[in-house]
Amino acid sequence: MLVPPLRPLATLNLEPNIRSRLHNAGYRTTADLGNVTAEALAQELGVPLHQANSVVQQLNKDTVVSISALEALARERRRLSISTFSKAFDSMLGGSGVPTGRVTEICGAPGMGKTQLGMQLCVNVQIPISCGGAEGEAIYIDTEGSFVVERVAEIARATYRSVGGSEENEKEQVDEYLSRIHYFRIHGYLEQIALINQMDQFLKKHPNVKLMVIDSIAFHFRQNFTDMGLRTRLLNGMAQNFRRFADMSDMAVVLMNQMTTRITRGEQSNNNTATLVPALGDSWGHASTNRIILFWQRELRHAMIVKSPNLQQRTIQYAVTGDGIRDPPTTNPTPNNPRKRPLDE
Amino acid sequence: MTILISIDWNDDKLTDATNKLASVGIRTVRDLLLADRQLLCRTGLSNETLNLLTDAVVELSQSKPTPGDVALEEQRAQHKFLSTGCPGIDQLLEGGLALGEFVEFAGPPATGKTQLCFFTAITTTADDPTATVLYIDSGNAFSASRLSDMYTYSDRFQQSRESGMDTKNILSRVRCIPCFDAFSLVDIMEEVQKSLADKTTDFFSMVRLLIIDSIGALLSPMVGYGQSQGYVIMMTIAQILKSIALSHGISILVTNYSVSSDFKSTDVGRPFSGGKEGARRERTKPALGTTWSYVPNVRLYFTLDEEPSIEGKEDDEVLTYRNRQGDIIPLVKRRIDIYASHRLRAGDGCHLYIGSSELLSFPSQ
Repeated sequence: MLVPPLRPLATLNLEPNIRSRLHNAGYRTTADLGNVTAEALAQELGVPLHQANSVVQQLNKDTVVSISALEALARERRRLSISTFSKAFDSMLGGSGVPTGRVTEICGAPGMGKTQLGMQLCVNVQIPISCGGAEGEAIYIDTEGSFVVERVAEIARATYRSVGGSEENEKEQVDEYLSRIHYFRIHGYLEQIALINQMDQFLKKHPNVKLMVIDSIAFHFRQNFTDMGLRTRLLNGMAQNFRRFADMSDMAVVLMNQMTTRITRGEQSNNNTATLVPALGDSWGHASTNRIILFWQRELRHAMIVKSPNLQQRTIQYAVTGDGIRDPPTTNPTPNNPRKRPLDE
Repeated sequence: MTILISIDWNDDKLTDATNKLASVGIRTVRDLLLADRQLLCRTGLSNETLNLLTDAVVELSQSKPTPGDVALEEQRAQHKFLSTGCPGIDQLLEGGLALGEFVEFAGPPATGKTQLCFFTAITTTADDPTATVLYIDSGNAFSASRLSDMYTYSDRFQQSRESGMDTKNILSRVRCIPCFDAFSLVDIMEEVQKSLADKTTDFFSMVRLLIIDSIGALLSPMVGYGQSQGYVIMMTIAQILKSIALSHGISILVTNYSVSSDFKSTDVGRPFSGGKEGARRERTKPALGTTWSYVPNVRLYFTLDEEPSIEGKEDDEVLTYRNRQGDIIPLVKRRIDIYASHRLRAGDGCHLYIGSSELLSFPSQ
């Protein structure tokens, strides 16, 4: 019979100061702290009682919650989606739009309509449940300074009309739409990390937030970093938080990302190839649950879903109009029957 | 550390002695072995009793050698494999995931790692009507609807469907624990280990497969230069996982990120002999560094077979597969190579085809 390994105290989430005090006092594993009370510990380490309490609390944590896939299936079916107002875009995302409870990353070169899409979602998340919406509030984290309130008002007006709102109280309704978008302007990567780390408190005060848009995640992380390992760690730490928000509050997290050029070296120095890939490097590619790339093709905007645990890889067309995101006006259906080659191996 | 009074001695004299020792603060095995003999005698216990107790404790604490032939017998009895559901990958793994083995799927995003985890989970529950699977999800990627679709429509499970095993039965034997940071992963692993040892529920007494998708998401923010705490957590998790795998005969399956390998010249990356197709070189490698590379028994590396091109997409041929119901399913092609293993030849590989409800791979002749 194997003896279960003992858990080192370093695997608890403690402040460095407490950790070294525990170490100096001779505590090495959680078993050593088995019968120690918070009062005795506070006295022995010479720290305030609340700090000792935090140590003891971590040892008596809650039991782990697991759900069966059957329960998860029921939960997934109950989840709401946020429509983009482009039928093709929605169907690419599984039928009714950007899913809540998931992290969706949207990558695209400048001018593809990432910000437009973000603003459209901020408005659409507020559509009442009776009209097929999520009836929630939105958080918009703007790192690039591209959020234009007049434009949001325009989109909100169009949305209000399309769900059948009457004309007389249009102005109040549009104002109300705007009042339910919480806007944060971020000027540096430290600010960005600080905001994400404090988001839990904000979400506690605003439990009805169903959408978080970050436009863009990459902006402050593409310069001023000499230690790329540090950048990767910070980004992955943030990604953990996004996934937690999505799951705990059942909200949709939408991350906008920029594109960058990758030079692939060929056999000789003269046949290097350049491809456009999402920014922030290889490990960031794992951060999101769904990843969508926006690109131009024959003067039409296209969106392609490239990563998803439950959706098929496919490409669709969409348009950006005065009213917001819509299907392209020409009834030019996406070529959905390419040449097929049967698999024989 | 073992507490003395918690040991069942079957001997009143020794039980009495441990109670006396506990009253003077000698609680654990270590306390007893390191204590000053003269001090111990003051408790009123005779030297003889103390010797008896010390011998008994040493006897209990040491690990006993197993003769090679017995070990072989034991290993043969345990020599069972879980199928991944894909014959080609099972052949690559020379049978599948061995019970007690630690397997890692690493690779860039969207290469089919999570899909193969899902498929292996369903195959495990479909092949053995009592087996259960524990899925620890850190990537927010666990999709019960995808599991349900795979079981309901894939040709692989036609036989189990016809034998009357319904989707509900399959899904109720897969349990998912969401996990968002490395600290809570240690908490979860500690608790899982306890539940497995105590067999608290029917579920925990029948676990055959434990999946962590993905370990890279949890550990990568914590490891790197000057981050000693991250390594303590990483190796604690590795130890617990290995101990679970061996003592309960459970296959451990983890997925990992990829990071770019240092490419300074054209001679980059780790060469894959790539079976018949000649040497291939990748510009990425599994994440988490050298320390972690010693942990998995088998590491598979997933890659896109060719770079997806955004331009001229609709002119491309699409691979399709006609399933037994006659539906035509479009497929995407991925490549899986053995990156490192103690029992398989590194560099061997096969293709994996992913469709809407189907995962296919073909054994080579």
